Amino acid sequence: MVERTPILNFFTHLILFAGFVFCVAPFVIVAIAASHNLKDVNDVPMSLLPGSDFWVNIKTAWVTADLGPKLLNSFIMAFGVAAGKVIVSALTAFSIVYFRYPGRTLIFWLIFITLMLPLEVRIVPTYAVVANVLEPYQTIMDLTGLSWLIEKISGVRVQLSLGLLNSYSGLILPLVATATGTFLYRQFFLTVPDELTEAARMDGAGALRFFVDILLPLSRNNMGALGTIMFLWAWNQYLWPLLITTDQSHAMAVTELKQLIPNVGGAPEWHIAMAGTLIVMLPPLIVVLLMQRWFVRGLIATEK
Amino acid sequence: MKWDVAELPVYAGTERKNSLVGGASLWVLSGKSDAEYKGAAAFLNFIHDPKTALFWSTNTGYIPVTKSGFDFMKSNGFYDKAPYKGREVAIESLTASEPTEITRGIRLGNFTQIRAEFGTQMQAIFANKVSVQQGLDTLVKNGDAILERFQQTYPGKTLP
Amino acid sequence: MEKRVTFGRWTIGILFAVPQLLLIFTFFYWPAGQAVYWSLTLQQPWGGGNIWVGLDNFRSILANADYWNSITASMIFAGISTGLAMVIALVLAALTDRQLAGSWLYRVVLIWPYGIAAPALALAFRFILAPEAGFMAVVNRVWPGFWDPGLDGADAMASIIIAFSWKYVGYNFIFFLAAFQAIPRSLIEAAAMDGSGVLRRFWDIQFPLITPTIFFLLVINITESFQDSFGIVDIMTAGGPANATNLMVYKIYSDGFKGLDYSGAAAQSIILMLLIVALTIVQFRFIERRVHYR
Repeated sequence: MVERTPILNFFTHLILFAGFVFCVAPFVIVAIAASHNLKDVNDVPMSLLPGSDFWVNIKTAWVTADLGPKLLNSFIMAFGVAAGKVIVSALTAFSIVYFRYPGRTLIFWLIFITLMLPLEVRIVPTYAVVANVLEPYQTIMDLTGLSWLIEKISGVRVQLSLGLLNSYSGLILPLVATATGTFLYRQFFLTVPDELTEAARMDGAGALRFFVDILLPLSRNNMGALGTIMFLWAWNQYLWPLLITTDQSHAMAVTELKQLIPNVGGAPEWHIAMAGTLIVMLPPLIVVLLMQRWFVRGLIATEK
Repeated sequence: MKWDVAELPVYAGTERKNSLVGGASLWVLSGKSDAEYKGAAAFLNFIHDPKTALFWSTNTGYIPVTKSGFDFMKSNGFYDKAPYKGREVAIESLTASEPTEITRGIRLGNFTQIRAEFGTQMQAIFANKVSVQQGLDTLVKNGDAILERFQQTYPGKTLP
Repeated sequence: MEKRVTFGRWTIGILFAVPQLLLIFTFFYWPAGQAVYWSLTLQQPWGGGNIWVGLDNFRSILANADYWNSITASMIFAGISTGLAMVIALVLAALTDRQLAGSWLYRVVLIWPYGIAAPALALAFRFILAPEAGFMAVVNRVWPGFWDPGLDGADAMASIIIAFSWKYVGYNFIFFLAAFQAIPRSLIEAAAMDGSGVLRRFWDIQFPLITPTIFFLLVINITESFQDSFGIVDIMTAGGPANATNLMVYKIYSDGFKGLDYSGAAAQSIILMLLIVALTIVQFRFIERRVHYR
């Protein structure tokens, strides 16, 4: 810094350290609580020296909440959402940046509006749509008389029905259906020099060729950032998986945590609950640690 | 420590009534195909079977839903030893008297909402936020509003 | 900004947008439209029909004391947790930006909480703040009955505010730090040369330059407090005691999915949507104009 400020420096360190403790303490307490036995974890005050039951508790939590398959489900879902976003948004951004066609502005705004309304606030009707994803199309055909026409001509009654409750597609697709990534790509594509496009066209590359061979490799950083953010976001989803997975085989790790809350009348098994919490916290934490640079970049870029 | 399971006490001079039944219920809705009704009937037959009742109670901790199921379990010695000893008290309590108008179980429109409202008002009473009378008054008012809404949703229908 | 060079075949161009359009039509616009329709009708819980009631659902909701209680609770939650998370993050970011020895550590660690799922951190805080075990139990030993989120609405509200703020301090910190670091060093050094102290420089130079970030985060934090609070409420308090923490999204969930009142829940969704849209518009119009950019 520019001047010597010993007193201020002292307080800076003090406050920053307090902030550090504030951020890290919950993790530490969870880890310590997860190492105690039933009696020690309920001691007041709980001992801050780790107990010896850590692995036993981890194993119990793992078995009780059946975390193995649940973590796998979470991975599939989070990975699916991240991949879906990375691909679909790139395609859309390519379309609205590199083409001129009637209705382009309309499409831009249609996508933009989806940023405003998160899934949480339209949750009930979205559930109904996922119960039969073809219902919108059935209704449209019924209302426009198309179903009637088809029935007259072919004698077949149109009954579109495809339920996605308790399926990976049902979990993933509605979470992909927002615009978060599209604008990230759009901003980036706009900074790609026009000369590159001209050169590619002169060499006879078509739109698809240009997109795959030039634009996508250039967007690697964007993809990393967006993928990281979306992976974490999807991993941490709670309300949506809670609603659409009634079948245990499709439940997520995060929603299964509820199984571990000590219930009224049962033994206060906080050590098991904390062990489970630790397991569920760990994957996103590792992603944040390993992908820190992309995570920070992605956060700032997707929101602005 | 000596302890046992017993029915809830009643004030001296009051007559014991059967306790209210609660929990989930099975329904067969109208307007389905014959094959579906066949399936539903077969399922209800299965549930109704005393042997199923024994399996069900052993594994879930719930009471048997039929008298014959209870008798079968009793004759099998289910209630004689731990950990199931004492569970017959639940049946005694449920069948303590002929069901009366107000003890024969609840069938209400929007029942889950009314039950949630009940929980909320009880919490307010126990947390000393409102007096018992106030809490009960609010419960009646909100419960009526929920029922009214149910009536509007199904106009002109009466419970069979 | 527009591209000068584009590709000619616009039919192919539209094809690239089709996957996204199909997705948002099916899972966004249709449900949103459905919500509007439901909010104007009374839907029978197990299907079978509905009755057009116009704006009656909105009238009955707005006349309902529980709904206003839910709005008040949401506002208190949004106000206090946003304030806490932003002030703490601002202070920490400003101090980290001084780049004393060891500041890399804070840059790394302070964003950890944001990576954690709301329900997971909620369960952690439920233990830490449990009145009978954990750490508030120590306080309860000294002052019996001081802390009981299961019985006292204010304590329950405080619990969910602490959990939410903990997560969002990290988020705000990233943005504040980025904003501070975007301020040219030369500006601050020049001011120091002129003899202005650290605090003076903060209020006269740094603070005005990061106001866009402050307003941006304000809107994001409030919006997130409406959405991301669901997991915290569901795990920590389930809306209780006596509706003290029955935030708007939680009420939509419990009325719609537990109470099967689809129409009432849809009407509440519409009101919440309008609220969030209004906030977003405020962010785009009002704030972008009023706040001086660097």
